[in-house]
Parts: sequence; C-alpha cells; structure tokens
Amino acid sequence: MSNGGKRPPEDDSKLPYYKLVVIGDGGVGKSSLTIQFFQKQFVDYYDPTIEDQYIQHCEIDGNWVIMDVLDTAGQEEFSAMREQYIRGGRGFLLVFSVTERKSFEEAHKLYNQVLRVKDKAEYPVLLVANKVDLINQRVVSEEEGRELAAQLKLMYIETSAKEPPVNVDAAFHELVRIVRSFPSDEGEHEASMASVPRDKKRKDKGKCSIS
Amino acid sequence: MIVMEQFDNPVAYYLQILPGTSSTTIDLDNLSDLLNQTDFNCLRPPNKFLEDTPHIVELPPKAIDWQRELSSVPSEKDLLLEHDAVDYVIFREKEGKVLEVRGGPKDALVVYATQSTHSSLLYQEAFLITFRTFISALELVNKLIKRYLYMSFANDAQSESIARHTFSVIVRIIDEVTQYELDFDLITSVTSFVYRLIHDGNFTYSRILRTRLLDRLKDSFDINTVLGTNLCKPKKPHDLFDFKSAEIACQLTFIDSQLYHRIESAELLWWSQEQNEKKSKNLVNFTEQFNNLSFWVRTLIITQSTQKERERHMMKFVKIMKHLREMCNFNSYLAILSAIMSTPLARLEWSKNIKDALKEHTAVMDTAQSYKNYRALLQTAKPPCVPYIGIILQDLTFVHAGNPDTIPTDRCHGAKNMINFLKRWNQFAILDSIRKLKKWNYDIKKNDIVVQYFNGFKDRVDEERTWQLSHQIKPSNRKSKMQS
Repeated sequence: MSNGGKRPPEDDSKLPYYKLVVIGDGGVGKSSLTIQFFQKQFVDYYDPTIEDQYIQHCEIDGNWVIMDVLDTAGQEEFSAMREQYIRGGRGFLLVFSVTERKSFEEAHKLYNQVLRVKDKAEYPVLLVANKVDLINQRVVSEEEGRELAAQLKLMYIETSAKEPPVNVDAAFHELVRIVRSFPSDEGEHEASMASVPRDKKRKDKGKCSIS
Repeated sequence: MIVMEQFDNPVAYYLQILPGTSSTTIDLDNLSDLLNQTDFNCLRPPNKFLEDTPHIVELPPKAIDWQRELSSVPSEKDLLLEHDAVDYVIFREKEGKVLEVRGGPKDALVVYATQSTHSSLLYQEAFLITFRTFISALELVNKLIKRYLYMSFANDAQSESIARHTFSVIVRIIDEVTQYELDFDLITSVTSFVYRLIHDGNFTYSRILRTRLLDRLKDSFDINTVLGTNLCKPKKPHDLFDFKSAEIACQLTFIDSQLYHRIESAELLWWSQEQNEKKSKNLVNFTEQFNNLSFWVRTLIITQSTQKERERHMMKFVKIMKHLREMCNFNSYLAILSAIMSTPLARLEWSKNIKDALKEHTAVMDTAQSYKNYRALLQTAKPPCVPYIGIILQDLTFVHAGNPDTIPTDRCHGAKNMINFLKRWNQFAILDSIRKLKKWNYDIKKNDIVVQYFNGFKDRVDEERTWQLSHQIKPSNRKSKMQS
C-alpha cells in the first residue's frame, strides 16, 4: 500500500485539507489505531506533544490530500469537552470494540451527538469495529455491526491495530473517500482551510499513498 | 499568599529525616535534556544477562509474624541480595557515553533504585513514580523488605548504606501508597516488618514506618467536606449575582485544588491503561466536578426565560472565567469555557459585546498542533495552578499505547522480559510536570455561603434537555428526520 517512491507535490498549500476525528468509548483502542496509522513516523518511541505528529500527506485514488487527525483517547470521561472535539471534524472514525458491548451501544449515541452538533441529518462517518483479532473475546458479531451501520446509513469496516494490522490504513483512507463524496458546505470548508498551520512544510515524513 | 507544602518529597528528603545521612538535591531539569535526544536506538547492552524469569510467588503471611525469616539460600542468582545491579541494567549510549537507564530485568531496576552509589536521584524519582506499570506496590515492598533485612545483617559500611537507602524507599512508597493498594496483604507485610524492626532493636525505623502507615490508614476523604456545608437553608435562596465574580472564582478554585491534591500519580497511570473507577477514585471525583460544573453553567444560562437574562448570566460567567485564568485554575476555566462554547449555547445569537469578550478565550481550546495554545498557557502559568487533566490523560494514553512494555528481544540479544524504561521516562516526564504544580497550594478559605449556593452543582438539567431548550429558543436547521 505504501509507496515510498511517490512524494507529495512541492506546494502543498493547494491540497485539500481534511480534519478527521477519531471518536468512541474509552478502551476501544482508538489510540492504537491512530498510532498504527502514523507508525511510519515513530518506531518505538512515542511523544504525544509533538505539534505536527498527526498530520499526514496521503495519495488516495491518485489525488494528494492532507489528513489532520484528532484523537482525544484518554479524555472520554470529560463528556463536557466532547462537543468541542466534534465541532472541528470534517469526518469521523466512530470506533467501538467488538469485545465490549457497551462501546457498541455508545457508538450509536455518539453518532447522534455528531449529527446534533453538526445540525445535519447525515454526516461523513465510518463505523469501525476494532479489536477483531481477539476472536475468543468477541461479543459483537459482524452481522450486528453491519446491521447498525445499515440502520445509521454508514459504511462499516473491521479493524485490528495489533501486528499484523488489519484494515487500519484502509479505514483512514476510506473515511477520506466518504468525506470527499459528501457535499460540503462552502463556508465550512473555508473555515477548515484557514485554521491549517501553513508554516511547516513536511516533505520528509508523513506521506503515504494508495492507488 | 502562597503556601508551600511538603508534597511529594524526593528520596533525598527521606534520607535527610533518617539518622546518619546527608542531604542531596535533585535536578529534574536534566529530564528534558534526557528526553530531547532522538537516538533512542543506541542501547548499551548489560554486561551480564539475567532473564526476568518469574520467581516462585511467596505467599503473603496470613497473620502478622515478626519471626518470619528470609527464605533459605536462593537456588539461583537473586539480584535483590546484590550491592550493585549496574551490570544487569541496560543503558542508553551516545558516542560512547553512557546515559540514563533504558531498561533491564525487573529486579535489576528495583536494586538500581535502592543502591547507594552509581544510581541517579533522577532515576530513583522516575522509578518511584512509574513502578506500578511493571510491579505492584505489594510485590515491590516485599522485595525491598527482603533486601533491607539481608543488608542490615551485614556489618560492612556499604551494606549499611544500602539498607538505609532501601528503608527510605520503603517509607516513601508507604507515604504515597493509594487507598486502593492499602489492602490486607500490604498492611500485613508492612506491620510484620515493623515488628521485625522492633525485635531487632531498631526503634527509630520502626517508629517512622509505623507512623507513616497509620497516617495513610487514617487518611480517608469525604467529598462533602469540600462540596457540602453545615449551614441551614437561607430564607431567601441566593442567586449568581449575590456574589462577586472574583469570590465565585475563588470558591471554585478552593474546590478544585482540594480535589486535585487528592489525585495520586498512580491513579493517572492506571487510568491510561485500564479505565477502572475503583482504582482511580480521586481522579473520577475530579473529572465529575469538571463535567458537573460545565453542565451547571449551561443550565443556568439556557434556562433563563429571556435573551436579556441569558446574556446577563453569560457575561457573568465570562467575568468569572477571567478571574479563573488569572488564578491559573485551568480546570474550572475550561469547564466554563466548554459550557459557553457548547453547541446548544453557541448556536444561539449573542450580542457583539459577548462575542468580543469571548475572543481571547476561544483559542485556548483549539486542538490544533496538539493543543499548542493551551500547553503554552500552562507553561507560562505561575503556581499555584490547577491544570486541565484531560490532556495529561490523553498524553499518558498515547505513551502507553505507543510504546512497548518490554524491549524487543532482537534489541537485547534475545533476552526476554526486559522492562522498557524509556516508556517510564516518558510517563515520568508527563507526570512530573503536574506533580510540580502540586507543591503549591492556594491560600483560600472556604466560604460556606457560596459553597452552599453551588449545592454540589446538582441543580442542572441533562444534555438532552439542554438541546431541547436550545431548539425551543431557535429551531434546528435539520429539516428531515430527527434521529431518535
């Protein structure tokens, strides 16, 4: 999937910039998914305070985009802050753990919260069933997962962040496709462009591509 | 106006209070240098390899028993009985220079934290703050008691010095032990050790340890001492405008700092690994206070029947926020800000006055560049200070998920179960930044009238109701089906 030969265009200021947010109950493995997706950048050392850690240039279906991922794993109990994090997102990975029924039920509630905050009847969200490697501990079946996705009119994907990772890059890339195909309010798009930190050019790291 | 408290003393402090020791200072500034270096791959392998094979678990005594002797001569090498574990520790190496600890077998790290030479105070601190990520307090205390008893039998000066160091580490662990860890087994272990010390005629040590253990056992906490009052109901209920904004900010800060000081580093570390409310009780209290305050503020604003009243309340909270920020209480500051910026409130129309007043605050909550704005604000804050703890938890969660617990075997000649201490350095760096803030406390007296008015922040409507009220004031754009 990753293509080391391809480099993002020299001038990245024209590239579409997508602010993506990973949401889900505590303990569903959000941080592991995000870390796995950005893994190329840190091998066995991880410092969460580096400012542009979660920004990655990606070539998806032949077009370069910049993905800026917000993952607030660890802050789930601060429910008063959640809307704040939802507000800035253009697309959401809505993660639950197949080993935790409560997280599956929470996913439904979180989706409703996204719609309410966005004041929309639908929004670019990918339902992610994580930890599928834990076959023996699985309590939410694929059928149930797909059923909820169908009910909420969402795409569905099953993932694992454990080595070897399953569908981790695919989930993030699929979300970009969903965001792209979703009719965007112009104002909203402009707003997200304006907040992009443009002072940093990141040519040496944070690239991936699939075609 | 600022009170310096004896919170979180370094091991050096414990050495001072024990007879026959000299004082040393600790320089935590080295820590940022230490973590700033990027060449984490340069390991210096240990001179001697010892795999951390699980020892036979010694059953804890069923009753207090000072006659318990050391287990007979160990069949294999027992690092706990060594003076020096330096040969078994993996260090980081840069250009031939040996830097801090990078990892090693569990027992080597324990011994290295209690030896009197070679080891650094910085390492000892990092060990004491993070050991729970690889060894329980009970297991560690039992190992240290074993080490102490062995060393105190020897007559040479070095063994005596090690015994003293080991003892000071035991005292420090007991001083910071959490209520969750203070179970029957741990109390029995420590009490047996106290009896043993008396039996050996070491009354000074036995008294010190006994006093510290009792202090911890007596240290129960009732949240009502902070959030409750003994006042009778006032004849006429108070309202928000009966109190000055500064006074409300002070009382919010009183509550926050009381709850914040209860939180142990261990609770934060545990939370990043497993969200267990029983283990992290004080953390849960603190988080709940944040949410309750935020929803209480939303309620007070949105339940006002006229736009004028809503704006008047909003303005009052903006003023309170200003005071909170000056007092460096970022917990209540962000709780109120999250209320004011919550969608049910933010989607309503507000006067230019209010919008202007909010401008300087909204940027603080920007998540861009890993909360650059908030982190910068916290950096420049002068203690005393109450931080927003969500970001600490997020950092710890990512450090936990992003770093292996043990060093990959291919990096240390196939040796298994080598604790990855670099991960612990990172956890220590995050925790130390907020531990420093705990050294200071606000000089604020509880004002029962204001606290009574808060009523534990129980007078609040839930999120659902907040949305309903918001949609009543201004209908939703969503034309089609509302989700249930």
